[in-house]
Amino acid sequence: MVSEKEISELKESIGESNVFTDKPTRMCYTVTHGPECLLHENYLDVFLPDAVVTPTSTEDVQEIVKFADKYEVPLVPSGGRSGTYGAEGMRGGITVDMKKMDKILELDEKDYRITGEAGVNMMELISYLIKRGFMPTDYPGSEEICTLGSRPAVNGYGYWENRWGPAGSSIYKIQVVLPDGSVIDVGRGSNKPTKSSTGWNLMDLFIGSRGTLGIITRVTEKFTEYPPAEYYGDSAFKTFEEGIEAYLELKRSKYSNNIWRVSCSVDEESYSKQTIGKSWPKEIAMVVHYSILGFKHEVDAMKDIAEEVVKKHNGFDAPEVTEITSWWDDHSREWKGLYKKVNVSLGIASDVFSKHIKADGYSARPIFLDPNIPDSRLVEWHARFRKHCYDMEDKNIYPNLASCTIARDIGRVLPGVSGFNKTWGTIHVYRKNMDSKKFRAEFLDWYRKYVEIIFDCGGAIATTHSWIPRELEVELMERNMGKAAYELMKKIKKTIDPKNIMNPKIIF
Amino acid sequence: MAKNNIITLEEYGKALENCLSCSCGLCNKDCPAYNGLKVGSVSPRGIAQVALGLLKGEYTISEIPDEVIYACSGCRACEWYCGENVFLIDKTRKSVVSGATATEILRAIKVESGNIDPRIRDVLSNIMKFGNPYGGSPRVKDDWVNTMGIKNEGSIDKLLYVGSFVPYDEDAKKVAEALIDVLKKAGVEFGMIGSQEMDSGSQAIMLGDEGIYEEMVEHNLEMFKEHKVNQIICLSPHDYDIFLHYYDGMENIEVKHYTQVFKELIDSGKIKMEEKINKKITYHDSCYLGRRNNIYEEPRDVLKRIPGIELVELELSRGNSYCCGGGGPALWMDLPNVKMDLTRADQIKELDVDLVAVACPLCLQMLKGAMDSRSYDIEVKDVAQLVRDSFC
Repeated sequence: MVSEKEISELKESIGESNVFTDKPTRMCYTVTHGPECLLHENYLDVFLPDAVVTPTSTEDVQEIVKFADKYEVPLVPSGGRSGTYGAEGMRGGITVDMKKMDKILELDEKDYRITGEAGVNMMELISYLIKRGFMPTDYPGSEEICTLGSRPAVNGYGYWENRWGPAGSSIYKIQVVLPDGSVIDVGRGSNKPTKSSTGWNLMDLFIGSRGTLGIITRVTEKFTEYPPAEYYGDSAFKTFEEGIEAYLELKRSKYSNNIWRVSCSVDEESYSKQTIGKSWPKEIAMVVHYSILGFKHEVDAMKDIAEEVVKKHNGFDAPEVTEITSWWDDHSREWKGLYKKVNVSLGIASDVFSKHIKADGYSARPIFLDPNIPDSRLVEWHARFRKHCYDMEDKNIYPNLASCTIARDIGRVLPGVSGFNKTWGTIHVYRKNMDSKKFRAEFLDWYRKYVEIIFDCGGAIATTHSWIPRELEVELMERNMGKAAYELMKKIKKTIDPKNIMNPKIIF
Repeated sequence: MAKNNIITLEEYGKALENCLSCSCGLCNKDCPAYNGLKVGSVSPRGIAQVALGLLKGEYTISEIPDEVIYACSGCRACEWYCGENVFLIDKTRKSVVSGATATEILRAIKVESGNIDPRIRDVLSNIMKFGNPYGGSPRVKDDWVNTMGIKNEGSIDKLLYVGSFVPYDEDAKKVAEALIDVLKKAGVEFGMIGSQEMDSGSQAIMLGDEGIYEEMVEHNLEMFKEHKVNQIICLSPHDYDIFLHYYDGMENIEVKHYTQVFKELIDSGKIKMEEKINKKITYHDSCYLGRRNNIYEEPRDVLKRIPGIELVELELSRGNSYCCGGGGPALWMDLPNVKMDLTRADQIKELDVDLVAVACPLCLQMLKGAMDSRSYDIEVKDVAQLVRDSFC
């Protein structure tokens, strides 16, 4: 417990208006969009922080970290809290809400770099760039809510990942307050937003570290120019196999990188909602959609190639499916409401698919599954994954899970790093009449089998959402990384954070 | 559920649980209170969790900071963004996930506890005693209606309901007078009920006094019945909203906002605007007219028919409109760092316009104050005033 005397000290250093100890405010920092908290009956016993602080500067963050170091109090950094793992509160700890650090500090139009404080809302940053004729290369699915600092912290998925890679690829430089209170600026091998082969690429140590090594206070990201032409296409397939083969071929895009995004939809409800209420004809198993961006002649040429690919794999038009003709329109403020409704089903809250609200009026907590699977095993994975997910709804196999879960959107596919794919499934858990102990017991059994299928197909756990049930985390992290690499990670953690104050509830 | 859409915290528990289940935070994005304060507990998602904690007995109402209870302006951007609400079939006050509704319920519990801010207490007391939040004498309203030469006795088929800010707030009074001038010149037969027209209850329920709200509802319904009212033309979107969505017993009365009436009068040729207004203007969508009641086009259509006007759109307009703060307690109590009116004024300033048009007396008051505070040379006028300037 953090004592009142200690809290007074904190108030003195960063200002009373930036320290909150009242229970109602602390309650708001327990749960995130992730599943871990709400799968425990008494989640407040575990996840209610002792205090919340809202720093307004890097100096404030330094003061907070020095305080935590002195009293050995755990710190949990928090951005938009739209993430699914890591920002849950911690009993006995302090949550560091970065939202007050919300200034865009510098736009370098010649070098295509933008620098902002960690709490800058990503939609604000995107709008800021778009107004000036630019666009971000990192476009998160949760842009309405998430923050700039969270992008390197979680190494999030990017909307244009097929072209620009995950969030980490768009980060040029970060500023981090380390657990001893010192501040470092790190790029890729130097303290500038560039690459240098003289030193370690220390920045990547913090990419995806989820606050376990320090608190990111400032980020420099790259951006690019607004492409002059675009095309959005979608095609339907009667079998998953055909759809996946077409997707893979489109993803590779021959010799071009003009297909910025390609993805597969597999669930009638999810797709129909993405396309604003249109229904999906019964003969369709999968819809593959793609966005081509670039110069007009490139887009025209790639469109022809894409259509050939689709034809080769027996794709056909889905006339009842509405085309979203301009992704740029969707991204603009004018269309924000509509885009939000589209975007909801694309990523941030896929629990809103129809039927998620049961007859009794209660809705579900989503559990996102997004393993990374290699191209070569994708078809096999897809079939096994879908079967395993739907097993959850079979009361003869999982009586407790079947009573309170629905599997949705199982087997959607999006490109990952070269040769890999982020595959997708959402499990909706109705907590209302859930027996959390029985649920967890069955769910852990289900999860182990799910992980075995991932490893068997040469994949890795969790492309973006990172969550592994708490009881299995260390065991599965060791397997996911390899024991030796996991031990090295522990050593690095111990060296940088010897008192284990930085978000100690996760990973280790 | 009790009468007139009053709901208890217990009845709202399901919506709160649904918010907790998702906790995606989409509701936070354009919450003006959260944008000002940047603390999770004033965000819509946070308010829902705070209310749920109260319901579960984690703390008492007195432990919830006033800032958390009073920061919300009721703009309902959170409802509009919320993914949980997208597929709700039966969208009622009880089922729609809303930081604004959760806040109203918390305020009601606060009022019940008896421990409320004296500024709020005074406003509520004025509404109870005088039927208006300013504590203005009813005689002043009667005199004003008489001066305007409006029928105010016997049966009134078409009632002009100007709301409780008129004539006590000078700006709202001017808008009402403009509206009356236009309706008269267009040949509309209508009446008013003077001081018998009390607050619609919108201020009372927003501030959490359900008892006073119910008194107002009862009184107004009685008046509508007594005067055999068949149609109500509202000046304020807040009154329009509460008549439509909260009152029980309005089934036989048609309720319209005056911008809808203007649009009809223009289309039928009864309003012909000839005087040019050579100004670059923008329109600020009132939350309760636009997002809440889907009235986006009528005020724009009216403005577009005024000769000389160049109408430009704000980046945050229509469903995305950013609240001026007037729908919450901001008119009555100042919360440090909650400066929605100034934020909106800054957004308007970016457009380099001569004038911002509104269709709500609360928006008018908030934005006029904000333009003055910022020393921006931008006029704030109601659509009714602009139509009068061109038509009368």
